[in-house]
Amino acid sequence: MTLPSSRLLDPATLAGIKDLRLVAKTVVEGFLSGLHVDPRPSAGAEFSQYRSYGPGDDPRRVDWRVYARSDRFFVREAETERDVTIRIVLDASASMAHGGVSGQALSAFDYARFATAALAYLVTTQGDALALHAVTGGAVLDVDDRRREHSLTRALQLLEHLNPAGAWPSVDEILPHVARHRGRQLVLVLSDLWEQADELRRTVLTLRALRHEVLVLHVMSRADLEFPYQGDAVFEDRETGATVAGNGGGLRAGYLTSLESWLEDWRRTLLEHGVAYQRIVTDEPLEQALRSFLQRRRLLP
Amino acid sequence: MGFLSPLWLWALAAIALPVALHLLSRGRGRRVQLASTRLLPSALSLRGRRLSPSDMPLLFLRTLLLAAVGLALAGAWWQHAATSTAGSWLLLEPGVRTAATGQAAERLGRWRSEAREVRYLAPGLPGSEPATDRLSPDAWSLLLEADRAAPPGVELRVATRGRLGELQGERPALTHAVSWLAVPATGAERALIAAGPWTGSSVRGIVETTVAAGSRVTTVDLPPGTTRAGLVAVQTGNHVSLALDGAPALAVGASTLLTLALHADAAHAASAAVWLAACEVAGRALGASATRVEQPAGAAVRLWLDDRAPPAEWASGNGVLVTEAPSPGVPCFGSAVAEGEPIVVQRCEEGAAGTAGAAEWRTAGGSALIQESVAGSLRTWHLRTRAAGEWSNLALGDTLPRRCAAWLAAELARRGELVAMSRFDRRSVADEQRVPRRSTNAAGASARREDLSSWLWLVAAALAFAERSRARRIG
Repeated sequence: MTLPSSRLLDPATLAGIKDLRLVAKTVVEGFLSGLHVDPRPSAGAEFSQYRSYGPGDDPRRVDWRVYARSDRFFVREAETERDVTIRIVLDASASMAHGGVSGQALSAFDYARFATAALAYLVTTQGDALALHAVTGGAVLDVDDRRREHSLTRALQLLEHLNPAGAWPSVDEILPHVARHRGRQLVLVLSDLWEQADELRRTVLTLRALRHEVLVLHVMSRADLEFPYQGDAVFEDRETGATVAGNGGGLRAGYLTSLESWLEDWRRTLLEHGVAYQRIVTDEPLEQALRSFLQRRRLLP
Repeated sequence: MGFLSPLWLWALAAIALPVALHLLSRGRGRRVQLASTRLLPSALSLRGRRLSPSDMPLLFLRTLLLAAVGLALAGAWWQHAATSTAGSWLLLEPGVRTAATGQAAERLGRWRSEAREVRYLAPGLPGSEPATDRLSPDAWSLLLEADRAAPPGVELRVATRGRLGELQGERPALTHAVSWLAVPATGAERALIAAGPWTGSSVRGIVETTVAAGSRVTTVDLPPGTTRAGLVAVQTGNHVSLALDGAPALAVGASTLLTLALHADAAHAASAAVWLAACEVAGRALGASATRVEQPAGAAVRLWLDDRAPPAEWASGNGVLVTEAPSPGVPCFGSAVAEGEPIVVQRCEEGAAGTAGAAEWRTAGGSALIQESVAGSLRTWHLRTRAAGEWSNLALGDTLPRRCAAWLAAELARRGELVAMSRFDRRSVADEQRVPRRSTNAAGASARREDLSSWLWLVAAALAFAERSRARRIG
C-alpha cells in the first residue's frame, strides 16, 4: 500500500523537529495502522477460535471439554505471543556524517537516527523488547535491558546525544554487545556499509552465522549515489583522512562504475547468506522507506 | 650547442610556471569530504590521470613546449663534430699579420703552423701577401671562393682586422666550418663622413678620426680649391667635391642648406640602407626631409638632407632618383644595391609602440630597424639590422652607420639637443659568424653548423598540438 504523498514528511521537515520522540511518533503513525499481531494460529494462552480436528493435528491439542459437550473433536487455537528482542545496530561511524551537497538533505546519520527512533517506537509499541547498539568512535553504546517500559526512553536519549565518529570496529568488539544473549533474535543493522577492510561485512555474516535473523538497511546519501562534484578538488575520506586529488567530472564515471559493482557485491553477499537487504536514500520520505522495508519483512500487517 | 640570442634563455624561466601551477594544484583546491574514498582509486586508474593541471603528461608537455619555444627564441644552433682531420686553410686579410699583437699574434702563428694552405683575402686568393693592405670590398665573395676551392672537411680559419664582420652585405652560405680571429685595429683612421652645406663661399667637411679608444668628429670649413687638414675641396659646375687623403670624394650641391653625402659600395649596401634610415630619423629630428639618390653598384650612394628637392644633377646621368616611400607618412628609402641586384622594398611600417619614432625597412636581403626612443630629455637611436632572418645590433665600428651616428651626434649636439647614441658593443667577428648556415653542399662537409631554431619551432608546434589534445581530453 502506498501512502498518499500529503501524509509523507520530507526529511528536511523531520530535521527541523528537535524532539526525537516526536519524530519517531510522527513517522510511525504515518504508516502504522494498528498493533502488530501475528496472524499465524498456534497454541498459546490467548484463545482465538475452535476448529475441527483434522489429520496431522496433535491429539494433545484436542479440547476434551468441548468433546464432552458436543461429542466432536475440536482443536483449540490461540494467538501467538511473540516475545523476541529486536536489536537495532546503528552505524554511527564518521562516514555516516556524509550528507547531501545541497545543504538541505539529511546526512546518512541523521536519516538513520530518525529511522532508528521510529523503529524503536514501533517495536516498543508492539510490545517487543528493544535493544539499541550504537557503534561510534570504535566503541559500542548499548541500550539493552529487559525493562521494556524504559528502553524507548533510553534509546531516544542515546540517539539524541549521539554523534558520528570513528570507524567500524572489528567483529570481536561488536559481538559481545550484540550477540551476548542466547536464542534467536532479530538484528536490524542501519549503516552506510562503508568499511575499511571487511569488518562490517564480517559482523553481519557472523551474526547470521549465529542463526540470528539479520536485516540490513543500507542508508545512502544522494551524493554517495551520484557523485555530483565538479571541478578540481581534494576528496577526503571522513574516516581515514585519506585524500584523493582530482577532477570531479573526470572521476564521476569511474566512481559510478565502481559503486555499481560494490553495491551489487554487497547485495549478492547478503542475499546469499540469507540477510535481508534494502537500500534507502536520505532524500526519500522516511515513512515511505520504513513502510516499504517493514512490509517486505512482514513486520507490518 | 650555441645561441644567437642568449638573452632569450631567460625565457626558459617560464618553465617554472606550469611546474608551480602543478605543485600548487596538488596541495590546494576545494576540499570535499566523502563518506569513503575507497572507490576513487579504481576510478582514478580509468580517468583520474586526466586531471588538470596536476596531470603529469600534461605538465611535461607544457614544460617541453616552453623549453622548445625558449630555445628557439634563443636561436640555438648545433655544431656538428668534425669527422675528419683534413686540416685547415688560413685566410688572411692583407696587413693583419703586422697588426696582430699579443695573444692574437700567438694564435695567428699557431694557425699558420697548422694550416695546410695559407691564402690572402684578395682577388685570386693569392698565397703571398698583396701590396695593398686594404680590405677588398668583395671580401665575402672571396670567402665564398675559398669555401668552394677548399677540399671537403677542411676548416677555414679567417684572420681579419675586424672589418669583415662589419660588412653587412649578403653573406654567402659556407659549407666548411669557419673559425675567426679578429685582430683589433691599431692606429688612427680618418674618414670623410659628411660634407655640407655649401654656402657659396665655403663648404663644410666632417671628418671622423677613429682610434682604438673611440672616435672624434671634426668639422672643417674650407673654400673650394683649397686644402685643409687633408681635406681637398674642388668645385665642378654646381657641385663641390671633397676628398680626404685621396679617398673618394663626396659631392655637395650648390645652395644646399645641409647636404650629407654618403659613399657606399655594393658590399655596404645593407649598411647604407641602415645609414639612410638613421639619417632619415635624424632628418625628422632636424626638421628636414631626406631624399636619396642611388647610383649603380659600385658607385656612391648619396643622401640629400634638405627641405627642398635634390639638385637635378643627382637624378641625371647614371644616377637613379628614388623618391619618397609609397606609404604616406612613413618615408621609406627604396632600393639599395647588393651585388648588382636591387633590393625591392617590400613593406614600410611603423615600428614598435612606445618609441618616439621607429621604422623598419624590410628588403629582400634584410631589414633595418631604427628606433628612436625618448626618455626625458634623452633621445636614443637604436640601430639594428637583420640579415638572413637574424637580427643583429649594428656594429659601430669603422662603418657608415657609425659615421652617420657620429655625425648625428655632432649635429644634434650642435643644435643644443642632448643626444645619446646607442652604441652597441661591437661583437667580434667570430660572434658575427655564429649565424648558422645550413650547408648547401653537404657532400663535402664534415663539420657544419645546423640551425636548430626551425626544428625547435616545429617541435613546439607539435607539442602545442599535443597539449591542446590532452587538455581537451581532460576537459
